[in-house]
Amino acid sequence: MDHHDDHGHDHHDEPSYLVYGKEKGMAAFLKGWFVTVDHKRIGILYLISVLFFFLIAGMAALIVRTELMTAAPDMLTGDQYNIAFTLHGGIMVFLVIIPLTPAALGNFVLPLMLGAKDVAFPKLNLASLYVYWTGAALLVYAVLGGGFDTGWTFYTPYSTQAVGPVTWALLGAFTLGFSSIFTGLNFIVTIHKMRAPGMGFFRMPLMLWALYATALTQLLATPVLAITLALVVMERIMGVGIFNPELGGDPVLMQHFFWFYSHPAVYIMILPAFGIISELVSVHSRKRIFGYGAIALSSVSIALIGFLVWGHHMFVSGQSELSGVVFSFLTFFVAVPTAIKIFSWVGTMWGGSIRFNTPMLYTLSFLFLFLIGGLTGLFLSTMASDVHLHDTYFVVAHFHYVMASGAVISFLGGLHHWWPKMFGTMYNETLGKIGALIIFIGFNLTFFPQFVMGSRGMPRRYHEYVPEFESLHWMSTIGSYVLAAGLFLVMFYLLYALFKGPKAADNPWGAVTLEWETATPPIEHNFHHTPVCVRGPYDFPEIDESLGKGHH
Amino acid sequence: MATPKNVSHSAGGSHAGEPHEHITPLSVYLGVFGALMVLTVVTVVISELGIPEPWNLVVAMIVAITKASLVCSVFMHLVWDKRLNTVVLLGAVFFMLVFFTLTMVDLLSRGMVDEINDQDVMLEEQKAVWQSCMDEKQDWAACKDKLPKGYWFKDPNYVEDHGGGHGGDHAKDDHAKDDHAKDDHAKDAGGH
Amino acid sequence: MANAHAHDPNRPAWVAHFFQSGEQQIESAKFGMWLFLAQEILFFSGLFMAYVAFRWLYPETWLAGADQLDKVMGGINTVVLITSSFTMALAVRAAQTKNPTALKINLLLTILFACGFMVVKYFEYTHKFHLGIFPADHYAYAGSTGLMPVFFAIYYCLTGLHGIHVVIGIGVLAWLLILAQKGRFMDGNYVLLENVGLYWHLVDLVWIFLFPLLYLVK
Repeated sequence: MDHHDDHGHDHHDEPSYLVYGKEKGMAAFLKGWFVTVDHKRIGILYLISVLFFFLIAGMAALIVRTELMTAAPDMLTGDQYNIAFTLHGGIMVFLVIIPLTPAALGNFVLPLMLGAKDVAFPKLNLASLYVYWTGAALLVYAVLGGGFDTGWTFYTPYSTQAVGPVTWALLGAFTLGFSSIFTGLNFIVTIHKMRAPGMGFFRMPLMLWALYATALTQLLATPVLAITLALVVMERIMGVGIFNPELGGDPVLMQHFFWFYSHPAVYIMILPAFGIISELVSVHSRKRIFGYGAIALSSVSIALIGFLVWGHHMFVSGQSELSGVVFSFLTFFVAVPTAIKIFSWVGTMWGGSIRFNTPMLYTLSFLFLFLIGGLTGLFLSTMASDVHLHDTYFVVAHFHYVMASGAVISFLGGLHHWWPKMFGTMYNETLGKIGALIIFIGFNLTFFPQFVMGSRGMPRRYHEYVPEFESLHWMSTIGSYVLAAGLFLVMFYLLYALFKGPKAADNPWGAVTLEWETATPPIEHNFHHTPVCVRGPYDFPEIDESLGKGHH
Repeated sequence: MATPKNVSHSAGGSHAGEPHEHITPLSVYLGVFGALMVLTVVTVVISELGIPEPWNLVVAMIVAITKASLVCSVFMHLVWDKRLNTVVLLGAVFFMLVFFTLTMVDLLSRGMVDEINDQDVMLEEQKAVWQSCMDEKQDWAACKDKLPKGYWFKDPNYVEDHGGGHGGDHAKDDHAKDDHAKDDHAKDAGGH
Repeated sequence: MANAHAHDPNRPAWVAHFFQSGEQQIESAKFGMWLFLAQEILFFSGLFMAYVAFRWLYPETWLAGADQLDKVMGGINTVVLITSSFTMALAVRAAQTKNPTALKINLLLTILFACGFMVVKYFEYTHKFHLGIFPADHYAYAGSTGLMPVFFAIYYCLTGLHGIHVVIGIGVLAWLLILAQKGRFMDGNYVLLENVGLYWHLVDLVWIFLFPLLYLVK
């Protein structure tokens, strides 16, 4: 593995960011981690928090799936079931998937990839972590206070009238929004102002383009969620009637407000995933990315077009037919930049020297599964078919294919890719491959039957159903156990690797982006001297010239 | 880089390395302040002129946007700052307008397609209740309970604006009120 | 954090170690503030959206509701806020021209005008409460027409949220005054002052739109 400078190995006997301060005693250690402004430590704390809530929300999902194994409601009452799926959705969306890649991986990787020593506003970064924890505490309080059953979407009029700790949940989500906004703000400024010398916008790794597009969305969309939730709270505690038809209000207006954020939110979830895949597909095919410019600009296009399409969640809500047609039309546009990416990634692999290691297996899973998820989105954006598919399991399967396979599987790929850099150890590669395979199988077994049952009319959010769907549900539940087993396997071998894994090489993948130029794990200040960027992010030194296909 | 017009002069070595920024002349600030005061008066005056809807709103917004532009470009320094900051501001405004526009596309076109008769019946019921409320000069609290549950599409005073005269509609509404009074009770008994 | 690297003698002490120069730090700070203002605009936009929707739906109600608002008080508040924006701009200018007295006086004036705004608001609100025009559930105004409670729901939400921003602004400005008292902002690093100024101007901007939209509906 060659480096164009050897600063990265010049340790000056400086300890890595993980242990810095440990030798000074427990008080200093705690202070060093909980009052840190080091983006790497903040990233690790986010990682732990997010994975913890992933576990909780995953357990809720297993409860839901177990109830659904049989057509009769034999495990939970209707109310309990509603609470279970609301818990799963609410925690997954607000506490896990939205912060997943930007906060847990992005915080760690972004300044390193830029060649910067930290983000632009490190204290704001710490604040965003604490705001996240505060929002999490409020949501947990709502859960412990009896749970809420409005669905994570908090539609009026039910959410304004439901008895229970809904207000606490709304306040929790409101708070979490600000954590997201602060992270986005920080990333935008860092990317604009703190790139290493020689790194123009079009020499940035595509992960950064993805995080940039995500940050734009986080900044602009999330405040509208905040005001929406605030208005629902106002309606609950004071009877302000903006969404209440009895007082002249309009409940569908709340859906406009809500989805104006929540649609761009799904791009917050997926754009960073696209960034990870760009990195992984290029490094593990050892080939320059195909269509760099197209991928970079398509990321920003998706972010921008994503603001125009929210009404496709509302085709049957009571909004006018004309606006349904308008939103349907606009939604088709957002598929185009996404497809461009898929073509580019496949084009990258073509003629490359592909290594079937764990990150690559996750990448291949993503490409296959996200393609299915994305294509099924077309059925949903077509108003005529959506009328039949809305509120069925088809929608559930669609968004799990794009979110769970999209965001989660790519996150796992990214975690395995950057693991050596973050922790300095290596995980067991065999177990890694097995885990990836089990997750792929479990995922498909869980969610593919749901497309079938949805298209046959199985409604979502129902805890009892007609017996015709039982075999498909049974298959889906078994699949969820397989998926859970795969995820637990990953958790176990990663925990083992964290504490007992063999020391990792400085750059086990031979990547050439700047984060691999530093020590593994990095020192506290990332770089001793600001690196200078002299080549593109995927200019592998020994690209096979003879192929003639590698130059784009 | 911002092109400095009035560069602050470093007074000696201790200020070396300080970034140079444009200092706005006092006269410019005073001028803008004066303009804002004048425009505030203009805002009030034109509201008294009785310009018909919706142009009164358009004119008011033009004045407000002018004032806002003065504040942004001079007080907030955007004219002399990096252009990126202006892009940020305009970007936020753009997305806000996207929000307004697409939502209003929905609200403005509701009921355009004549789908279910029930909607018109409900609308007539609501108009009837409001009309009786206004006629009997009852106050808000008493009226609220008489309203049938359902969507509102138009201001109840809409009755007067749209032809049919007061008397004609009134007669129809009395009928509507009587016929549907029983329906309301039935609904209340059966519904939630 | 301790900066382990050699200082460029031209690099002022207030530049953080992860920035390459004071210029970069200041530009980043200002850019970050503009991004924050962008999200504030989107935050208010929810309420403006509700305004647009309901004004279109209930035009007569809007006329009746606006009639209940005191244009004189609204006008006074507009003048007060614009003046406070002016003094804020002058405060920043004082830091640029290294004039500590002007800085403190203008900061103090801005705070006083802001407090004046809140005093007028207090009188406006209490007058309405006296008439029974409370927000939402407690609405009990005998002279209502149409759907005036909706108008007032939006009125209270918009002016309330704006008022909260004014109060926060007063707090932050007071803190800045204390810092100015200690001699801050005289060394070329006054971006914090500028950024608070930007926030304050945004508060003024929101009111510039609220005044004609709420008070001057004819």
